[in-house]
Amino acid sequence: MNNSVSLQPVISATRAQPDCRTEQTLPPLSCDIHSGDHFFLMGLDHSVTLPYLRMLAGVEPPISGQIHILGTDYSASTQPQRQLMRQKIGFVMEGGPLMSALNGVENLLLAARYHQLGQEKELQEKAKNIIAEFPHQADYRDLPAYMSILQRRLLAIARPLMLDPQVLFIDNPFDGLDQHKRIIVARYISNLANQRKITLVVSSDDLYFAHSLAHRIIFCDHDEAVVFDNWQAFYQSERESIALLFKHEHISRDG
Amino acid sequence: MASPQKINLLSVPFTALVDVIGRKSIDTVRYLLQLFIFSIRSLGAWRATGKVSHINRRSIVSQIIFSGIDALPVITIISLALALSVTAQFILLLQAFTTEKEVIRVITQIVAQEFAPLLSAIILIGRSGSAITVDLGNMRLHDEIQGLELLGIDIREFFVLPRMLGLAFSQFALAVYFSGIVMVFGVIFSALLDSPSNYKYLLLLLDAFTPSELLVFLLKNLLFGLIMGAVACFHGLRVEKSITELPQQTQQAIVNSLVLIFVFDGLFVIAL
Repeated sequence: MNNSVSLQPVISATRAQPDCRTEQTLPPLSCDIHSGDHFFLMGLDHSVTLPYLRMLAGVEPPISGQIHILGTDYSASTQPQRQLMRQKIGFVMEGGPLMSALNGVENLLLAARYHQLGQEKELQEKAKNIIAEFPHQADYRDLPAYMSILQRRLLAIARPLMLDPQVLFIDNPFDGLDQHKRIIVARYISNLANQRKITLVVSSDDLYFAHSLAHRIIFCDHDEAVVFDNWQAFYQSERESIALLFKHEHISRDG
Repeated sequence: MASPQKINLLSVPFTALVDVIGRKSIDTVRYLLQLFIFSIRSLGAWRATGKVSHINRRSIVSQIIFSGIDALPVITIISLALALSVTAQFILLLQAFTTEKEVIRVITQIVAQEFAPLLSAIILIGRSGSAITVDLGNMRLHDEIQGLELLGIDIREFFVLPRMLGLAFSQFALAVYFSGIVMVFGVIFSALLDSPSNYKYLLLLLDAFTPSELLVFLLKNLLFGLIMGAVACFHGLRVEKSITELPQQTQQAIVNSLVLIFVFDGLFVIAL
């Protein structure tokens, strides 16, 4: 039945502890990400939020607990299953690295061509449409080295879209951008969420943007990983680290 | 107070030497095993998909253009020089005290079967092997490879396999080209330097190779190409975070490729 399928979370974490590649262990996280959700992953320390983001996206397995991605237990999944998952769960790394040897359009086409997702003409058309949706129009046929940071960032965010992912994870999309470029990238991500209806999980410290986009918030620090179902609960939290986040962002809890 | 230990001065350097040799041997075996597994898995990536995709075909072709076709001018110059300095000299020296057949046998065995594959391999390692390591290492440093993995792209299938196959095909083609020039022009140069009667060797060259020799030539060159490609990619993908790793890995890739090519060449001689 369609209804029962839609109720099943796309990603489900049960007391899942990410691997932070140090001797330190991070607290477990339990949460469900449903289709259409817009999550924001926040914290004071990017080295803490990143392992959670990677774990939820199925980039790295949890060191304990369970992660179910698209109904599959990640830890028990095979390599081909994981590779297939990567087509369904997009992940945009911080800085959005592109293939330096390929031009912008070819960077967009690369994954779809590799996975043979359609005829060349269809793929070209799809890439053209994706570029047409960019809030900043420029020539995207240059090599990444000859593009502006804004062009590169938009392409990096758009690259997984060629695979029609069910969920898109974006790590620190505003890294290295000035205010003007941040606004353009924020507008593009909002368009993806509102017009394309993509399930989004974004990690950023930009509270203003988070507030405009996210339905739910995951707050992670060294002691606790908590899910807030709405902004009110987040603002009312007595946690010291959340207070520090507000202080860091120079905003009051009244928004 | 601990009793003073009697130190045998001779034994210290000896045990240290044994220790160093032991460690180096273990490291070498471990390296060879890792390289072997890496190569097999990379070749297996092709088998897993069961077909060469359009994008991989393009990658193999561009690798052949870069490694094979672009190397033709340098191969031509070196093979012509070798034809003059080695083949022609062999002919002039040997024909004085042996039969025509023996002269041809020496040329085919030493110049065509040994020099041509080895020198082609050395040129390929210097030109393409190092470039592959630097290219992949740079991509690792700039997270380009991780970015592709996150799109579900199998790095072995996408990067390693086309480079291994491209180098294997290029090595074979360049060795054939090298042998051809070095033998034919060797005869021509000997005729120009000595006597026009030396042109007779050109006809003898046509029957110089047995089918089994041709098969060994094919296998040897394909294996050399696969080794070069695997070593170059293996070291390129070993680069992790620091830019200082790039020249280190490139240097190791070049040296290890050369050592492996020469060792395998020796093994071919022993085996056959």
